[in-house]
Amino acid sequence: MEMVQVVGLGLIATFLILVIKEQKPVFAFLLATFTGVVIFLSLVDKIADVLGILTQLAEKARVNSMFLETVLKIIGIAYIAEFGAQVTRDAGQGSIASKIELAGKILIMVMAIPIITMMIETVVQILPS
Amino acid sequence: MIELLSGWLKQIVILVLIAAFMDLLLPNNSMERYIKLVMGLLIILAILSPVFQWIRQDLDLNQLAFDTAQMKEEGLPSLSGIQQESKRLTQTQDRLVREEAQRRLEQMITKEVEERFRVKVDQTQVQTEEREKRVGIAQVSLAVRPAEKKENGEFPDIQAVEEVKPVIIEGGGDLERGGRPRKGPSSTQSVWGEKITRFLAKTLGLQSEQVDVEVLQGNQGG
Repeated sequence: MEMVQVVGLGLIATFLILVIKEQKPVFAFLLATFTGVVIFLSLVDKIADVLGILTQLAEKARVNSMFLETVLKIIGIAYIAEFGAQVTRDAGQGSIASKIELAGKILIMVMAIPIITMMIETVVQILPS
Repeated sequence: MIELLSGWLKQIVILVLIAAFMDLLLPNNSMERYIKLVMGLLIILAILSPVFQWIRQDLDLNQLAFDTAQMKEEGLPSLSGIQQESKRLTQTQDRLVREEAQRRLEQMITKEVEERFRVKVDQTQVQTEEREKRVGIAQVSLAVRPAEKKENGEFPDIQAVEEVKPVIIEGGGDLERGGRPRKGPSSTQSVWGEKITRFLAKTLGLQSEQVDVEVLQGNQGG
């Protein structure tokens, strides 16, 4: 989907939500969520292109596949957590949104744990005991 | 060296590029700091990767050394086993060689006898024996039949099979039959037998007792 289409979809959804919000707030929320999902899905192709190029580049440069995997996982976690948090925040549930963000942060830190372990082990090995 | 260096640099450059790209891609919220931390760790890891490899290689070398030492220790007690195995293999090989030699000799004798005398060789048996690590011929047994006077190839063959069955003699009976009655009943047969025996003994360098020629009465059928 091109930029204009995305913007158009967003504007239409916004107007509809403004109209419907007075009568049925639940439907307004559903509409907002649905619009967000549609825009996100329309961007999946482009994201796949970008990721494919990055992967190719990394393979060409013989980057350790562990690095790339970690980076991609971090991107995914960040995006999904962000999406969920925004949707819930739109629905007025700020606390749940912050929990989702917390989960995202913790998962990202878990990704970092093997790297930190490896570095600390190396340092311990290098230093004479 | 240059290749190693360039590979290392390439890796770092690509990783930094990806990190910058990701910074743009990421949603701007409180997660940014965490992501930056992890990316920084990854880049440090990439920078330090030669050190890691070096240490790992060191460890690997040590392990390898231990492994070889263990292998040697394991290898020692089985020396007798290896010797036994080699003995067994040698015996098998000798046996195979002797079998092959017997087969070749049988073929050769059959061909020679059939070429020189007008007979058909039904059965050839060569027994070899081992004397002081040299293999010699112990016994040659031959069952021949006067050749049919060049009739059609197929008929005599079929009849020959029917004929030979009851007449094949093996083992100890050979000597008595081949030895004594030779001079008795039919003179032509005994002459054939003696001729072939002499020829074979001369060709193969054997005593005439070692050659045993049985002349079958092939003419009755044909």
